[in-house]
Amino acid sequence: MNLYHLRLLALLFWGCWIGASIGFAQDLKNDNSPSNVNEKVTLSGYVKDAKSGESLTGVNIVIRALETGAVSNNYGFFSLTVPKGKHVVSFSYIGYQAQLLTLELNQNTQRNVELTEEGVELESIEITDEMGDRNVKSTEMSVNRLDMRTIQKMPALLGEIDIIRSIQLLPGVSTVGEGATGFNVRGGTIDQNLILMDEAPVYNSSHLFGFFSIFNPDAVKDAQLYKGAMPAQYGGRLSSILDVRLKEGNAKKFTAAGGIGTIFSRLTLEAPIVKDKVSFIVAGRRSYIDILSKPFLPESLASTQFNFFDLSAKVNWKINPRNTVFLSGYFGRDIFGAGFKFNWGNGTGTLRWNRIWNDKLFSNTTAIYSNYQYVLGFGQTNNDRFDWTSRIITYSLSHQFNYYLNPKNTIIFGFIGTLYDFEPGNAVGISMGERRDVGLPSKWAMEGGVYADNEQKLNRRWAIRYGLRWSVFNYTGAGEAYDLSDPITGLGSITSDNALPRRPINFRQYNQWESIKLYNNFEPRLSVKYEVDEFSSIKSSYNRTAQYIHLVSNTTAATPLDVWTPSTNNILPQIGDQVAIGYFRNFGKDNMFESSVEVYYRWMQNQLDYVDGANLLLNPYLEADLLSAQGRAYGAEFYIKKSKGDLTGWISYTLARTERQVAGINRGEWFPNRFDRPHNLYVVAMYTLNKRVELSANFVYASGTPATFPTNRMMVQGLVIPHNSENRRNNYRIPDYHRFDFSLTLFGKKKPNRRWEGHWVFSVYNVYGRKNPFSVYFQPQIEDPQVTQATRFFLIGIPVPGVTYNFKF
Amino acid sequence: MNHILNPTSNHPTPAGAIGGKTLLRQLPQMFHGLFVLMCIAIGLLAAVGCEQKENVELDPGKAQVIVDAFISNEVDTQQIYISITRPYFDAGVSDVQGARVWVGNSRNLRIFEFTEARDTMIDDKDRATERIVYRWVPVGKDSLGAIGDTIGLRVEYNGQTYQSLARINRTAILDSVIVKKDDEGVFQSDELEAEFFGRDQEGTDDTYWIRTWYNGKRLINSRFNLVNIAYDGGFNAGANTDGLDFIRPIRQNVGPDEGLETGDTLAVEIHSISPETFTFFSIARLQIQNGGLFATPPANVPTNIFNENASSPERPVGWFNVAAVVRRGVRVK
Repeated sequence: MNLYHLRLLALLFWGCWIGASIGFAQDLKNDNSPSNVNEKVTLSGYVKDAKSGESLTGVNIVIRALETGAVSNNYGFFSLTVPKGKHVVSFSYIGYQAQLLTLELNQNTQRNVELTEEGVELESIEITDEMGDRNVKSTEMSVNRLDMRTIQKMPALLGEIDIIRSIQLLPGVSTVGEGATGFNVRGGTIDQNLILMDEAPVYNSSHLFGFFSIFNPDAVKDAQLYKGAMPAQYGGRLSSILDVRLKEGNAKKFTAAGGIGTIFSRLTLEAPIVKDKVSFIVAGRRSYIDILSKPFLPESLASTQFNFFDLSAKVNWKINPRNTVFLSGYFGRDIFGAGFKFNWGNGTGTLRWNRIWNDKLFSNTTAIYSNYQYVLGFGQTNNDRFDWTSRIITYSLSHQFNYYLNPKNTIIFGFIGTLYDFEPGNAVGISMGERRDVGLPSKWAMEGGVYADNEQKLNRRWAIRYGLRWSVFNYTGAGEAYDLSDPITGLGSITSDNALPRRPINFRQYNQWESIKLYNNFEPRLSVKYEVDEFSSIKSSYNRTAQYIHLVSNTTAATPLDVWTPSTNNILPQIGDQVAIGYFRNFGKDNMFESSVEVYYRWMQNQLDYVDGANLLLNPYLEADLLSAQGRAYGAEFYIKKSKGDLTGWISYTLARTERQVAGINRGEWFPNRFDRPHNLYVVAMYTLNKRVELSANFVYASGTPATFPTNRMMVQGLVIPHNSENRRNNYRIPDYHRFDFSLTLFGKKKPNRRWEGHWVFSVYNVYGRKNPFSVYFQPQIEDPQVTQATRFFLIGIPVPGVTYNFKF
Repeated sequence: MNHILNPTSNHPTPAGAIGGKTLLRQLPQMFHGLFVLMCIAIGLLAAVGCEQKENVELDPGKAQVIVDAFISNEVDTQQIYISITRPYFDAGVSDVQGARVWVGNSRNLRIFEFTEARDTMIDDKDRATERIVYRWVPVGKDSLGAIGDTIGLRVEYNGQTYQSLARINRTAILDSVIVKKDDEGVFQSDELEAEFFGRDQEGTDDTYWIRTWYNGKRLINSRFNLVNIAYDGGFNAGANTDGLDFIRPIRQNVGPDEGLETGDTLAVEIHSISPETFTFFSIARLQIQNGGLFATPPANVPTNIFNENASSPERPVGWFNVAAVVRRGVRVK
C-alpha cells in the first residue's frame, strides 16, 4: 500500500513531466516550423527594470489596434501571438514609464524589454489608458497586488515599513489585534493563509510575535494576495495565498541600500557577478530593542534578551536566453531569553529553473526546503534542565508550465509534491540527574497536487478562467494511530454542556511510509468576467480549496510555540468553498481612480476547535482534545484607489461576518469567531508636497473583537471561578479599535554625479495615543483574590514616534 | 518604569520574576510577560503600562446552587459548603441555610448526615468570614469509608435534590518536606524554599491534589501555587511519569510566594482525586488565570453534581470529591 502509493505518485509526476516536456515541445516545434503557413507569429521575452535588470511581474503588454494583450508572469516572461505584420506594442507597468515599440513581426520574435522607473522629477509620458486597467480587463478578482513603492510611502510603526502590516490595510483583511501573529482573510483563521517566500511556504511570518514580519522590505520585489478566485496552481490553504517574491539582484551594477532605524537596521547589497548574466542579492536585518530598553528595565530583568535577525540571499544565473536558474534562501531567528532560552524562526531554500521551451511554452521547476522550528530551554546545569524543540520541515518539488496557446487561451498546468516531517516536540527534562523524555514522536505526511488552468477570452466582453486541482494527502507512519471513544457520562462522572476530551482507544503501530490515512479532493476553480464597457466589468468566481495541515492554536493570538499537525484518521482535512461577485470600475482623468465592490460567501468544513481546557503542547493524545467545527463567512468589500497624481492612496471598507458552529461549544449554536470584526475602514493617503517632501497618513477603524465575559462568580475551595450562566461563547465585544498614523519623508537634495541617495522618515504611530484593547479579561486581583475585576490589555497606548534614515548607493 | 513590573499590578508574572518555580503551564503567561516587556521597549520613555482597569457592565446572570464538597476519609471533621452564584463583580459568598446534606457509603450502606453549622473562615487577607457549613464530626475512629469505596452525595435544597458519586482513590507516597536555599536550578536566589519528596503509586491514572498549610493557614490563592495537581507524577496524562517521583516543578510548588522565614511552619498534604477532579481543577485554574495576549477562550468549569430531576431549570454547579490523604510537616529552623 505504502510503496505502491509512493510509486504511483512519483509515476504520475514524472509522467506529467516527460509527457509535457517532450510531447508539447514537439507539438510546438511542428507548429512553429518555418514551413508552416500559419499567418500568426509569436512575440515573447522578458520585461525587466532598465536600471537593475530585475524582471517585472504583471506588466501589461497591449496591441491596441488588435485589442489583444498579455501580462508578464511571475518571472517577467510574456508571450503574445499575433498576425504577421507591423504592430505597435505598448508595455506599461505602474510606477514605470510606459514604452511603445513598433515591431515588424514576420517571424517568431524573442524580445526582452526594459522599462525605466518614473523618477520624482521626471514627467511621465502618458501614452496609454491601459495602465492600471488590469483590474477591469482581466478575469482575476479578489486579488491585491502590493507595490513596494506604495508600501514604502505608508506610515509605519517606528518608521519600519512592513509587508504584512501593510496587507492588514487591504479590504477583506483584518487581524485579531495589534501585534498579533498573522492576519485573517475573509473570515479565515491565520493558518488558512499560505505565505510563500520565493515559493517556499513560511509557517510563521512574524518577528516579535507580530509587530514585524519576516520579510525584509529591501529584498522584496512584489507581493500578491489572493483572497479568492484562486488560480489552480495554488492550493493547500483555505483562505488566501500571499505570494512574496524576492528581488533577483541587480544585474547591471553594484548597489547597496539600507536603513538605520529606531528598532533595527537593515542592509542590502546587490551586484552582478557576471554582468547581465549572474547577479546576487544579500539582505540582512538585526534588531536592538533589548539593548535600547536595557536602561529602563529593573535589574532583575536587565539580562533579558529579545531581538531578531534575518538574512535573505539570492543568486540568479542566466545560463542562456532560454534558461535561468535561481537559488534563494532565507534564515531568520527571534531570540528571547531571561534566565532561559527561547528562540524560533524559519529557514527556507528555493532552487528554481526557468526554461523557455519555445515562444509559447515556458516552464518553471522548483525544489523547496522549508523549516520552522523553535527551541525552548531552561536550566544551566546538566543535572537540572529542560530542553524542548519543535519543527516542521517541508520538502517540495514542483513543475509548472505556462503555455500561451494563442491570444485567447493561456494554459497553466503542472504538479507539486511535498513531504512533511512534523516534529511536535522533542522534550527532555533532567531533574537532579534524573532524565525524563516527555517528547512526542515525529509525524509524516505526503501531499501532492496536479492542476491545469485555462484563461480563455471568449470575445471582447466575456472571458473565463477555469481550472481543476486534484490534491492528495497521505498520512503515514512510522507512528502510532488511535481511535477516539465517546465521552463517558453518568452519575459521578464529569458533566458539562461543553465538549469534553475523548479517550484514545484501539492503538496500532505503523511502519515508516505505511499509509495510515489517505485523503484526496477535487478542487474546481472558476472565474468569469463580463466587460460592461471600456471602464467597467462584472466578475464572478467560485473556488474550492482543501487544506491538509493545521495550526493547533487556541489562544487569542497565536504563539510561536503553536504546533502544526497533519490531517490524521481523527483530524479531517479542511474544505472551503467560496463564491464571490464583484463590480469593477475605473474612472477619472486617465482612469486615475480604480474602484471595486466585491461580495463573497464562504463555507468551511472541519475547522479545528478545542475542548475546554485542551492541552495542546506535548500532549500525546492531542487529537482527543480537538473538535471539528463548521464555519461560514460572508461580507462586502468596497475599495477605491487613486494611484496617479500628487495625492495617492485608497479607502477600503469591509462589512463582514465570520462564524462557526460545533456541538459542545455555545450550546451547539453558531457564534462569531474571535477575529470577527463586522466593520473595517482603512484610509491610506500619500501626498507629494514637493520634490523633497512626502507626507502620508493612515486611519484604521475596526469593530471590537468578540469576547466571552462571565456573568457570575462561584467560590469552590476558596477559589473564585468565573461562570457564564448562559454558557455562551463570545457573548460580548471589546471596545472598537481605531488609530491614526502619520509620516513625513524628507529626501536629500539630488546632486548629479553623486550616487548616494538618502532620505529621512519621521513617523508617529497611533497619533492620538488610543489604548486600543487587545483583549478584556477577568481575573481576581492579585492583592486580594476575593475581589474580581476586568482589565483592558493593550499593546500600544501612546503615540509612538520613529525616525529612520534610509540610504541607497 | 518599575511600577509596570510591580507584582501589585494585575498582569501575570513577567518572565524572570517567576523565581524558582518555573512551570511549563505558565508558559502562556511567560509570553505575556515578554510581551509586556516589548510593550515597554516600544513605549520606551513613556511610563505607560499595557493594562488598565476596564469598567464593564455585565449581565447579572441566573443564580445557581454551588455544591463545594471536597471531603476526605480521614478521622476528622468533614465540611461541605452550599452557596449560590453571585454577579461576577460582587465579592463575597452567599451561603444557603436550610439545606439537608447526606453522604452515603455504597459498601457498608452507612449514611452520614451533615448538619448545618457556623464556621469562621480566614481568607488570604486574614479576614474572617462567617460561613454556613454542613458538617459531620466523627465519633471515635469513625470515617466515611476506605480506599476503593464509592461514596454518594445527596443535597436537598429549595425543593430540588442534587446528587453525585465519587470513589475514594489511593493517595501518593509522601516521604518528607524539606526547606533549603534556592541555590540550584534555573532561577537562583537566597530565598528559603520548600520542597516535598514523594512518589506516584505504580499503575497509571492516579491523580492528586497537593495542598499546603503555611503557619496553620491553607495557601489557596498563592500566585504560583494556585491548585497544585498531578497526573501520575507529572503535569498531565501520557507524560511517562507513572510510579516515579513527582516532577520537580510539582515538588517545589509548595510554600508561599515570598519565601519562608525562620520559625515558619509548613505542612504538605497529598489528597487523592479522581481523574475527573483533575480535569475540573485544570479548567478552573485556567479560567482563573486566563487573560492577556495568549488567553484561551473562557469556558465554564464542568460539574459532577446532578439535579435528580434532569429537566429542572435549576442546574447545580460545583464539585464532589472524597480523598485519601497523606500529610508531612516541617518547621523552619
